Amino acid sequence: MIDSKRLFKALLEKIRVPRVGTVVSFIVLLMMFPFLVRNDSYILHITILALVFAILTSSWNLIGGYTGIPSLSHHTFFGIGAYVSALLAIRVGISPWIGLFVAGGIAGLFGLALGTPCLRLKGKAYIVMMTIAFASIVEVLSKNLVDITGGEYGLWVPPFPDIPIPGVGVINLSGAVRMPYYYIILVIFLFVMYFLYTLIGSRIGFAFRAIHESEETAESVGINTTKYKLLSFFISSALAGIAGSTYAHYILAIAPSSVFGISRMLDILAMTVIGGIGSFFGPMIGAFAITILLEGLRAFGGYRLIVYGILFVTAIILMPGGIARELQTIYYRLRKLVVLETH
Amino acid sequence: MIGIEAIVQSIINGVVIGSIYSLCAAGLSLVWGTMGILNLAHGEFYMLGGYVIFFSLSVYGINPFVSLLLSVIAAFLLGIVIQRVVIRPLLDTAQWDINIIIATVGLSFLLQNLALEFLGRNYLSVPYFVVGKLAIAGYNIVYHRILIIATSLLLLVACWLVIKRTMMGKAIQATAQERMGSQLVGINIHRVFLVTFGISTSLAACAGALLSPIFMVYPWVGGLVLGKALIVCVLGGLGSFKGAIVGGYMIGIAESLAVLFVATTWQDFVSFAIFILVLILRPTGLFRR
Repeated sequence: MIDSKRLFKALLEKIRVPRVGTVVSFIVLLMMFPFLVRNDSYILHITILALVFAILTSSWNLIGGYTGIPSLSHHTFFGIGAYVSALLAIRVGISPWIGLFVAGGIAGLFGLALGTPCLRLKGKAYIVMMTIAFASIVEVLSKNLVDITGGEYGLWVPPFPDIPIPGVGVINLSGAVRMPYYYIILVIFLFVMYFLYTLIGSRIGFAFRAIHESEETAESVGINTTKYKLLSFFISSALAGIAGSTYAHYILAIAPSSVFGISRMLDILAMTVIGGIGSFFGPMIGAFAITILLEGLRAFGGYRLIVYGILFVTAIILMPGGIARELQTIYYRLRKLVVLETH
Repeated sequence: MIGIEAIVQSIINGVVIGSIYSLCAAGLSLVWGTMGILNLAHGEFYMLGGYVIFFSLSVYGINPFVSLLLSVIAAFLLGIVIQRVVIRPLLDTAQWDINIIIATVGLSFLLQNLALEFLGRNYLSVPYFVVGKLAIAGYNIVYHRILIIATSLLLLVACWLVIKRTMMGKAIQATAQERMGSQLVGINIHRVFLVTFGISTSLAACAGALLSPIFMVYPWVGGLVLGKALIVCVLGGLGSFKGAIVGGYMIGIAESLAVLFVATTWQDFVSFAIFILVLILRPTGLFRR
């Protein structure tokens, strides 16, 4: 007879593989994903969007979840990144490959420009209002400066140029074929996540969290809060800009309502909160969960956004730590159960 | 050249709009002052007021003043339900300040989409409560506009008296000053929060009901109103009831005058630019020392 307790324990030992192992297996899974879904264009499309939003959401988590600055204009930096690299490609003819980094840099500088006045504000409500005002101003500008931005109609955006590989052929990134683009976005995603992971584990990341816990205490132990808050603004905005640029060159059309509209910010908040604010993997889980959910909810027709809203509000009341915290709790509870049972 | 008549007319319009801004901002400020909460779903209660008056007055033909009362009651009830169900459980969480802000953003989205789905995306119009207009010295003022100014003033004064004179008002003031201390002397702070939130949402609904004959009612109207109420709150000092009232009239008049000089597409740009400037230069408001 099989001892169920022992089996259970053995299973749990299996689950408790080192973190590196889990991460590597996830990466391998993501690498093989197009083959697993037999190159299904729709599934790949959703996954590409989920990866873009995972970058965007994780970058908000850096400032909102780790540093504790409730910025409600993160979608604006996403939009600035999208418009900068699109306009560079359309008007100046600069390759989107360079535009991607320029977009990140310029979005980061806008982040600094917003962060500087925010430093003086005491209280999170004021930061919320400042960022709402900033987002509204950029939205109005993007609609009114028709000569530059194309106004309400927006812009058609060229795709990333094809990459010729000698002897093999050409990698087509026009978006008509999803697979090449999937790998491009996956590489960017992995780079950004690796960067964020090291950043959060570094002294800088500790400073961010210290500021979140208590600004006075952080200052009293010698953390230059001004510097680190600005750094947080810069990095998170720059990453949002990069996400915006990849979005623009994938969707191939941008408009004020699609990138500067408040609904984009709402998605960021929903993804972060449902995934787990202030945890590294939470926003990624949330980005995937919400992107897939919103597609699945299409069956509800007009009630889709109502269901989404109810889920959002219920999630924040019932599980403020998000899916990430719930998974952690379940895992520890199981482990405790087994440890108690076996000893 | 802009004539003096146009300017006077603009100032009168500004006072009307300003009354509405004062009502909205006063509620927002009251909740901030007492509970430390920024309610980003505040505009949706304005929308609720507009819809209740539309159905009650335009569809069922109920007396306008009874309709106004109905919209106030509806908003009060929804306000206390939301306070009890959404906000109270979040007050005790670790990152309550960020959590509540995010929750009210979600709530605003939910209420907007509920209105959009069940009440339609049309711009609905409501008739004037009192028909006719007053003519003095060559200026025509519609009675409804006078009604708006009078009702708002009456409500704001009533709220002021409630806060200053009644036991409940004193409990609200005490909770705003020192939450734990008030609990120690036996104030049920959760009841105070319920009442505060209810007053705040009914003020917003009243504003929505009063203004809907002039502006239309539609699902997105709340966002617009919230933006304006935030500007007013910052100008008057967030948490200050008096500041919200003065700020409301100031913004209302300034905006109506600005229409004469700035193209309407740039109007929002101007008001948000002023907003940011105030935040940078006087983050605690114009009136607080």
